[in-house]
Amino acid sequence: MKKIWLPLSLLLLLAAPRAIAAPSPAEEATQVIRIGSKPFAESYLLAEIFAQVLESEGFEVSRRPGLGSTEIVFGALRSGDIDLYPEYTGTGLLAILKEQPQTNPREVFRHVSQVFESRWQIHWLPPLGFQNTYAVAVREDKAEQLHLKTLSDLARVAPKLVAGLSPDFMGRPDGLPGLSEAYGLHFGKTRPLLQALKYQALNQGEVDVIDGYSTDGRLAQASVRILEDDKDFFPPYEAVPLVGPRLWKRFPRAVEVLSQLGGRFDASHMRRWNQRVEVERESVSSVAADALAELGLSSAVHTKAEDSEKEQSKSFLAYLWGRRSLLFRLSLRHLFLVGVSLLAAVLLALPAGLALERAPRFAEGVIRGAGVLQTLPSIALLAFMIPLLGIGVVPALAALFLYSLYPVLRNTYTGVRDADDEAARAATALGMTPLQVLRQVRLPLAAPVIMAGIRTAAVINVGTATLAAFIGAGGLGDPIVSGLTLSDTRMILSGALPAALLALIVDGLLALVERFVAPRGLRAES
Amino acid sequence: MRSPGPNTPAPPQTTPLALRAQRVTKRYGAHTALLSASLEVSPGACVALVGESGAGKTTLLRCFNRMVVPQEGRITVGGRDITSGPPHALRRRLGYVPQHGGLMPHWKVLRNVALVPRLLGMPDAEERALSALQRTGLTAEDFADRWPRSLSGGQRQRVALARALAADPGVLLLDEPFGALDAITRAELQESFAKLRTELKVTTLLVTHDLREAFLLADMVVVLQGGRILVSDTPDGLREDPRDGYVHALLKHAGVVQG
Repeated sequence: MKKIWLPLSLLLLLAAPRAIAAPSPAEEATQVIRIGSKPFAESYLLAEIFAQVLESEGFEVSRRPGLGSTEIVFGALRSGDIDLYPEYTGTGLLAILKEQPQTNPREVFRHVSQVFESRWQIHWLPPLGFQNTYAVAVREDKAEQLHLKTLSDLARVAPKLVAGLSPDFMGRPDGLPGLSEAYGLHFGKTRPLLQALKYQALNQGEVDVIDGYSTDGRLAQASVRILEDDKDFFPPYEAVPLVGPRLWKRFPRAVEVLSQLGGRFDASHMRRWNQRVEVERESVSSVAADALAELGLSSAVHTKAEDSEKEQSKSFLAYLWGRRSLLFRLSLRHLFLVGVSLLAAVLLALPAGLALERAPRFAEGVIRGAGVLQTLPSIALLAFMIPLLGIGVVPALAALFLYSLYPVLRNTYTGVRDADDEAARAATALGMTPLQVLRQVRLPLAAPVIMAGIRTAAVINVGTATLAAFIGAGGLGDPIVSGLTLSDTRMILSGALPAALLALIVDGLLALVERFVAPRGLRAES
Repeated sequence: MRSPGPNTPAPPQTTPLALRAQRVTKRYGAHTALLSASLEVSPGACVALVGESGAGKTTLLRCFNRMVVPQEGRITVGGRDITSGPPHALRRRLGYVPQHGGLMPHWKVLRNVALVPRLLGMPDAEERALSALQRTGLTAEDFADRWPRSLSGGQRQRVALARALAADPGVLLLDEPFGALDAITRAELQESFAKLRTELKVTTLLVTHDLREAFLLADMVVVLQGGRILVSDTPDGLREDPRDGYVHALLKHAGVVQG
């Protein structure tokens, strides 16, 4: 992802500053506070806690959870599309400012506060009171047996142990390489493992040590011991409400309310609440309400949601049926995203493909340019859109439009160029003008190839549009992103299956269009 | 070949046009396809251009309808310089048959044949197409509504010939029109074309690598080699005196002359 930032920032310099899609005056004027989050459970939960606290103080709130990556959600905060989201000081230092790791939490907080305010008028409110940093954990019985409490203890026995670590952790300087250096820690064997598989491998004794996040709900559940980072190696990742300029200036009272959350949280509570969301599948809003009650910030103690218990026992079909009106709305939004972006791409790329056939000198260059767009990772393209177009439907349409250009352009150009050359030459030799040859001969003969390009673009679009959820554009990506966050397979499927069905339907409809526009003389049955 | 039935339309009135090329040279980069070639075809005559592959015969033919633009030389059709108007206007007045027919695969036979009359805005384009089909020996009821891909090779070339004739042009340019057909079909088409010519009296330029075909159909045979015109004479004149060793060898090889 890093490699594309150079060309992207060049593009950014060229593109007009986001004049097109600044937040509408109506939305700017409203009293609504817009709260975002990243797509993982703790971020959802903290955002919901912020929302409920503000609501209880009488503010009107709109929730935009599950926004793509750090680039996307921070981009949305900078562009003013959201006013607030939970962020971590270490992420601000390393991922946003791209600076070297530091170990002192107070120093890091002071530094990011200063730089963010002077650079972007973005404010770090008082830290909530817990860190979500890397954690190294050992199976409880092993820890007991070897008397392990700290990472220094671990370093003594590490050569006899097997570690299961995420590939990311094994490579990062603030991961295993730095850890080895700081503690003289060398495992007997290290195995790369995905986050989701780690706990299982640990419980089954396949590995003795794993890495994790210190507030991961699954750490609360498994019988593991988290070892103390006694040399303060890991960079601090303090959770903090990150506030944009609009909220800061216009809602001082809200800032005050949020500031009062500072220091009220701790890691073990957070781990327990994350567990309720991630493992026990309780709804984010009910866990947030309970958390506020436990913190003494609201009186209404929410009873453990029974409806979510019932939800779990339902069959998958009943589950889908229960969500039918939501899924229908999401499907319509999805179709809207795909349809509008595809139509715009066809309106541009079809004439452009024909024009390039008349100017073959430029053809390869232009089409390859469109091809390069295709190679940009979708999430990066979406992130790139935010400074220009903000978040929501408009940048999603723009990204899908850009992804559709290449197949339509390439197939139009190739189809028209390679359409039965003998027929086209004969048509010219018998007195058709170049425009007549194009319209009456090349274009009809190229129709099947052009339609194939449009169908390719449409099917790819249906798939890519699920990523629109990362920038708050809705569609069937919503349940997929939420489901991934909450490890809820049924929720993922409730978005993925309709999306697959939609791809089939769209392709089928376009096949009908193709039957209509493709010349009959070319078909085998004639 | 069907014999002309009672409902065969009378041959239409065509004014055959003279063709003339003066010192025409065409180069493709370093390669010279035609070198100072001069040719004269009197109205209503049929001239065959023969020679081996790469001799320049197709290049010379295509100079007449501006599908090839020579670097030097002057070409007239019916006494008018062909560069005096837009190329498509010239081409609509010249019937043209390419080797593989060049039919529009997405149009039925009748629509194909009606192409040039429609381009010329003739109100009776369809009637002309129907009568042109009949002239080339294809009955309208059997063929008008067929797709090109359902036709045999010989039928396709007949349709291409009908298309070239439908607007009653003064000139017919035939670019190896029977070259891709099997021997029997080729003989049939040659025979019916010979008959058609006696009715139509259209000026014809025929490119062929088949010397027997040239001697059968043409009033005048022009032999090219390496982009130059070697000899041009009537078939009888060439048979009696080939004049050139290469021409003699060519005729002998084709079995047109003995010894």
